[in-house]
Amino acid sequence: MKEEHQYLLDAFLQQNLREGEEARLKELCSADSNFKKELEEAELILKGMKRKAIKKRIQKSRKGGVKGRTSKIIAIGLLSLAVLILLSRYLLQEERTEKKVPTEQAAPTIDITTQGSPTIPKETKHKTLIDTISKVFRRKTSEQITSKKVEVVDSLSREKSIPFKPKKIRTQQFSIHQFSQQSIVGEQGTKVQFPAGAFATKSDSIRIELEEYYDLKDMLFADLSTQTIDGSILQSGGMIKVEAFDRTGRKLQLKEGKSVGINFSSSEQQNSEMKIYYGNDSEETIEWEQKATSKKDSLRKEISVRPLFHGGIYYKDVDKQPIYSTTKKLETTLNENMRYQKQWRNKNDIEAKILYSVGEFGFVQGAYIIGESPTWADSLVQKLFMSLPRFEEAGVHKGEKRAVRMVLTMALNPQQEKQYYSSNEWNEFYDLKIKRRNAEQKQAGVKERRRFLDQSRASFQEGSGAMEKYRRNSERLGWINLDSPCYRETEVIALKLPDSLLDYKVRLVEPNRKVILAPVRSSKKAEFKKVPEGIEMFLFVQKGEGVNRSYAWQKWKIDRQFPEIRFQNKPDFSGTID
Amino acid sequence: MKDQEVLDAIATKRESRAIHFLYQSVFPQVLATVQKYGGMKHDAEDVFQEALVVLIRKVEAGHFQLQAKLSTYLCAICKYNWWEKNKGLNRVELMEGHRLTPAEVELLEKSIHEEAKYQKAELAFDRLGEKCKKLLQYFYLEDKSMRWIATKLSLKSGKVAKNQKYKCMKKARWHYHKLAEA
Repeated sequence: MKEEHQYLLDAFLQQNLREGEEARLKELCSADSNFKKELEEAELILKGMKRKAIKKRIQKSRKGGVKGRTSKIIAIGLLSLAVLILLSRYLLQEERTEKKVPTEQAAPTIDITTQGSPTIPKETKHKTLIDTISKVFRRKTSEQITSKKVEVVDSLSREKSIPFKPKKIRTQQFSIHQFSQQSIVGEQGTKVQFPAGAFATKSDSIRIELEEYYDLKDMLFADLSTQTIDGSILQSGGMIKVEAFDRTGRKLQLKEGKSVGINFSSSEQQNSEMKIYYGNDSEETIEWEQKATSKKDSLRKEISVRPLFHGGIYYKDVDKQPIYSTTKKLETTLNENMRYQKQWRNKNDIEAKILYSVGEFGFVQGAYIIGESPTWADSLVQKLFMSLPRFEEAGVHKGEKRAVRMVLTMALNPQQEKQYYSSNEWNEFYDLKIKRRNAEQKQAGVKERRRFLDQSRASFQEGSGAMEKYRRNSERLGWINLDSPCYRETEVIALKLPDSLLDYKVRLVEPNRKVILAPVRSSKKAEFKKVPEGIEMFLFVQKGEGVNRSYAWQKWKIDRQFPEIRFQNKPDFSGTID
Repeated sequence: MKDQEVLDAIATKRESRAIHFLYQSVFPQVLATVQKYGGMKHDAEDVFQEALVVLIRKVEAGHFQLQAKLSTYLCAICKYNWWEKNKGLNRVELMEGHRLTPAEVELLEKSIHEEAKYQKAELAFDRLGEKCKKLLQYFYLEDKSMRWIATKLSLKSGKVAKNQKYKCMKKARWHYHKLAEA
């Protein structure tokens, strides 16, 4: 197209035709029908473009309108909610202030006053409202900043009648495959190792539930205690509840002869006197015993479990990786070069880090999975690595030949290619490769093989050794407590609970040793079977349940006479008993 | 909002509130009509959007005179569009009670037919690549210079952009031909 034609066309479409140009355009159109057609079509395209732009504007306006309307509705809703909260809190506080005195006076012989003075002066009511408003809008009033009185009033509010809200221990759920050895690690660090075929069920997928109690408060508010069935006093190094379920939700127990390995995450696990105790539900608490009286599984059937041998394995070309010897370089190697690619990964892959050493003549001396691993995987990794050909730049570090150790991340898959890897063919193939390689290695005159093999093994054991050392075996699931007897040399006495406290939950607590004693209840009677005389403990009382519960406590040097209870008036429970 | 206020807002390209108002006040009637004649909500949304496009184009072109109410006009466009999509429907029954003058109806029908042509052009434009679309939009709708466009679209120079614009327009026309033939 001629320059002039193009210019006139653009000017026409942009409605920029100057004087004379319009006439020229008409002239051109009448003379050149192709140009005329082109002009008409270009105009149409422009209209199409405009149409698209208009549609965009409409949609934008519509969305904007809806957005605006929605935000208005949300704003109105939030405002109404805030007003409602304010009103309800104010009304509740007023109601509470009026009812407080008669309720507290109605308490039995021993006056259990939970917190502070029961009356609020009239003028503080207004302050409370202001405080409530400021709380809602998360802003402090000037009075709150300057006056401590406001805080006292706060502590009388409904919320503070419960000194603190104990956190509820979450039941953690895990899924394991029962036909291979598997471990779970809880949020607080408890490690439970399940052996292969631990449960009497055909189902491979097992759901494990775990609760961990290491904090004294958690134990106290979960109604746990530390005493045996016969009342002997224990001190706790942590309690867990571990349960297993099959696909149908049926609770499972361990097969006879099987046990789970447990590593508690408390420092007490290093104390050899700490033993495993098993919990049994009693009326008010859990009572512990050392012998595992396993609950027989009525549906138990002997199922022959064939342990898995080898799994699928994927690895990057190991023989092309750079070799480093320092720890720093090992990190780099691991992160940058040797991480196997994500696209290679399968759904059921297990990620494993493999430590392997290469001798000065470039042969792999030993390969181990870092951390604990199933036997099949160890065996597989050993075979694979030991059968690798000689490294081209093996063991060359800073110009001299020496042995190095490296880390490689691999994906191991116990499910895939199970049959293939467990076949004799596969084993024979790798055995042959290793044989050939060993012959080569001999020829190369390598003598230090054993030394590096031992080194690698030692470093592997360094990591997992500690875990193994402190592992305790448990023959059953359920409540499991790491305990040791205490106050063995102290005289223990029986203490009958006064009638005035019969309706409450009463505990004797020794925070340092994590001892919690609960009374044994019989008809209209409750008694602490064994309490250490002369030892200072906390007497802890809970009245009410749910949101209406409140607590009181005081220190008491235990003697035969139950004390006259004067409860402390402290705003925070945790500071007192911890 | 009064009809004139809506038209003024559209004419000054501050139509956001006006369009929102039309969606609130007129769309329910359109929805009821479409649903009465076998359509769904999304059909109603489509025809209403078409009606708004016609209205905006008319207003922006200037000299838009309307004797009837705006809602009547929009409803009439929607009804006509719905009849165009469903020719089996009784047109007389569908269009009755719109209170538009015969001249207005004639103009309206003409606009709708034109819009159908533009619709194809829009489709043709849509089939272009992103870069082409942007180039044409910048030049014809936003009146940007070739140099500015070249910088924006990472082209070597304004001259390259100019050549590219020509090629893009040619391609769009080619697409339009294809659509028109189909």
